[in-house]
Amino acid sequence: MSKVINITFAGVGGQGILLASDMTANALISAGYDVKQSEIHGMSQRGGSVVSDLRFGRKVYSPLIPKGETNILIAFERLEGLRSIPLLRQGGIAVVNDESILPVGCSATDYPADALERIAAEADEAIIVNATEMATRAGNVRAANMVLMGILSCLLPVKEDIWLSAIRERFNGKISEINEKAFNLGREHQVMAATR
Amino acid sequence: MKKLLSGNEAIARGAWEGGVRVASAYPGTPSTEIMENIATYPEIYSEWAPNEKVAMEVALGGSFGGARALVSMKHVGLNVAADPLFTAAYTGVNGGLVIITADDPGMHSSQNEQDNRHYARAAKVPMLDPSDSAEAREFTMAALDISENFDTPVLLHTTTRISHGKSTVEMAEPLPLRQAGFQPNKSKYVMIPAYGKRRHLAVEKRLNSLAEFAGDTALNRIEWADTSIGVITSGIAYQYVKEVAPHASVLKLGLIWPLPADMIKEFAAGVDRLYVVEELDPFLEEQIKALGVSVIGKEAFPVTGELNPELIGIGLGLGGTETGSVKVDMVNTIDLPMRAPAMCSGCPHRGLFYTLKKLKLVVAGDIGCYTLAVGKPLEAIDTCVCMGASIGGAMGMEKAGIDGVIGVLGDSTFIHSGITGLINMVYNGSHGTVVVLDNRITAMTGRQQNAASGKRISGDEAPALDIPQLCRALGVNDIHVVDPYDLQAMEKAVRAAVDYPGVSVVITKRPCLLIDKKARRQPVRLDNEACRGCGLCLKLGCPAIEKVLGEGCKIGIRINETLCTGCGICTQICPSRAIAAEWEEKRL
Ligand SMILES: Cc1ncc(C[n+]2csc(CCOP(=O)(O)OP(=O)(O)O)c2C)c(N)n1
Ligand code: SF4
Ligand code: SF4
Repeated sequence: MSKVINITFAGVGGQGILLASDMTANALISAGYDVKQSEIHGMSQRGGSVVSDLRFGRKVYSPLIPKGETNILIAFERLEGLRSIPLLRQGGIAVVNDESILPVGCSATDYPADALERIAAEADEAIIVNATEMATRAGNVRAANMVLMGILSCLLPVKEDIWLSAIRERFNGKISEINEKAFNLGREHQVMAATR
Repeated sequence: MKKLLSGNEAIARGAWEGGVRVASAYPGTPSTEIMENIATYPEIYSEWAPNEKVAMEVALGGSFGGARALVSMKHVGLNVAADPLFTAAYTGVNGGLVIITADDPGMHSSQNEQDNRHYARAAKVPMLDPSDSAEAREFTMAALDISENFDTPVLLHTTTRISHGKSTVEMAEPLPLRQAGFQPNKSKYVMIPAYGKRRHLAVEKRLNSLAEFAGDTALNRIEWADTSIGVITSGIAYQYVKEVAPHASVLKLGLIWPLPADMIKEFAAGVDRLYVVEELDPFLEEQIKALGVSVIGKEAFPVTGELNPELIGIGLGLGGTETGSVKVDMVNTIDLPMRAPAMCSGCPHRGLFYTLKKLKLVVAGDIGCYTLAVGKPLEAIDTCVCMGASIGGAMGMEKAGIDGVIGVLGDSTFIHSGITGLINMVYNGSHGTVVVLDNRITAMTGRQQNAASGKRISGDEAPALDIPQLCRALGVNDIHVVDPYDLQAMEKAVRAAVDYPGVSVVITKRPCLLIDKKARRQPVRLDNEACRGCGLCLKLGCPAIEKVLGEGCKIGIRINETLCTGCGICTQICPSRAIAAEWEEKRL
């Protein structure tokens, strides 16, 4: 059986998770892979948890990632990152945005303050970044998804120009520039981390 | 050209390539994006109908007129459209007619988990069941052909995983169009008993020919492999089976009604152990058993919820997945706070439910964004069954002698199936009250236009239904139109309506915040000195009001400025007047 690589995107509705998952899927198709993606939208819009499964390889059947088989977890938020840790397989990588969003009706005291430590303790490899801050530096907080995609791009067998043309195809003018900048910040961060 | 498409996008693409010219739908998860995508093809007449029954009738009429036609809906929508469906099976078609039913195993966003494959058998029409986006496109086109070749409407069955899941699709150019035109044929299109009896015979004959076709068509195929284990499956379950049991022999059904009896028997004879793997009910299993073939089915797989590769692996006796590298449950995530969906900050619906709770009314609720008011902290909905049931339900409770019942529903739901309930209240002498939450849009399903929006699916201007005038015409004499951001006015209107000795309607009028970006105002400000920490504002369940105890903040309340839309509802309920809106100050 040829190998299938599994990526889980997890976060909170409104964080641009499905867009990042979509663009990654398209980049992988451009690179010649079979890709399947599964997500649930509906109730997800209004601040609920959002999870998107993306699988690629020579041939992919199930769009769902079997539990505990995720190779790369991209968590847009700490609590959702922690919630998704059991999805990771042994040797899996967790990329976590150092941001917390309080669930509606949840008091700050109930929010796990030690989420990042628990993630770092459980995942075999954890990459923790402040994507929100980097996106602000790039010109728009909302581009945090592109920062995370930039980091992910370093972990996937897809050439840089494919990613960049995907961004340019998706966005226009100024927005495209900001997103590209955010993507590059993510990429640089990862390259730096890898060479350290 | 190859592209990553969702199943819904692929169906729309297949409809366009297959020459569909008339398409109608009522939104409903997971089907909604089918019509949203069809509407992007200018060649196709597309519309949002007021409900699924009307949508089905429009598509059937389009077919009678010779156009290829499509109608799509979520699973419960087919209950609403079942009446035309069952008789359309008798009339048959002129232009090809495909009916899409998008089921929701796992109930990701539905009120029940019904298995609509039963409709195919009950209505005696064929049903196709795609297993990925490529098949969603291909089967849509095949359905149109089968429809014309066999003179029958054809059901296309999807589930949430097929509709929303994405996979690659090879696309082509559209087919040449068929000539439209209506040929009067009363014994086929006028279903009075005399003609209907003859058509029923035709329906039974057609089913026999379709069963023969099921054995010949490439839609059904046997994938021979290791014959010690054989699996009969269709739809998304096929992908899961291939994932966990790549070595097994598989009979993959694309046409799931009627079934290819000989092919099933041949397959059964060729394998040692035979399984049927299907989501929800034992639909295939019971039919296969009726052929005298013994299979393992629901004793190994659940009848509730979605299937997934693990469940299938276990059911087939293969254990979980193959790698054995799983870290599952190493972390205890059970105690983590849940993140349930909530009404948006500044949602125009919120204040009403605060008011209803305060007045201690029994709330016969309905289906829309406002159903989220059932959750903490508002907990202000007492019943929710199906679209429109708020009105009939409130009426029935009133007649059972329950005091203080109020029916609450949205504009889209009112138009879908609330109007007839209101006619009943007036006609049969109710004293009840109905609240119509008029936010000018069908918000829950992602903001689709409706008859009250003033816009069509194309974005073109349309006459906007005047709800107060409609209520007046139905015979309602006590009508209140209020701004739901004005809590005092709303409470006054609800009290007056409940006290009124006849049918009352309260219409809360304010667009959904997500369609009216200009309605967002400056965030409100909390005066930390004035706040006594009573926590009353937290009872609104507004995502922008955060409880921050223990973070060095003396009073424990914080307004999240990025989330707050400045609706001002919290400023009106704070007994210490500690929350102030900038726009309010300016006005004073
Ligand atoms: C028969 C049926 N069709 C479609 C749906 C899907 N659905 C759920 S809520 C809703 C509409 C809600 O619109 P509205 O009543 O205007 O309330 P809003 O969400 O705008 O507050 C729809 C179409 C359904 N549940 N049942
Ligand atoms: S989408 Fe609109 S109607 Fe729905 S919760 Fe948000 S503001 Fe309210
Ligand atoms: S004004 Fe109050 S109720 Fe309205 S959005 Fe802001 S915090 Fe929420």
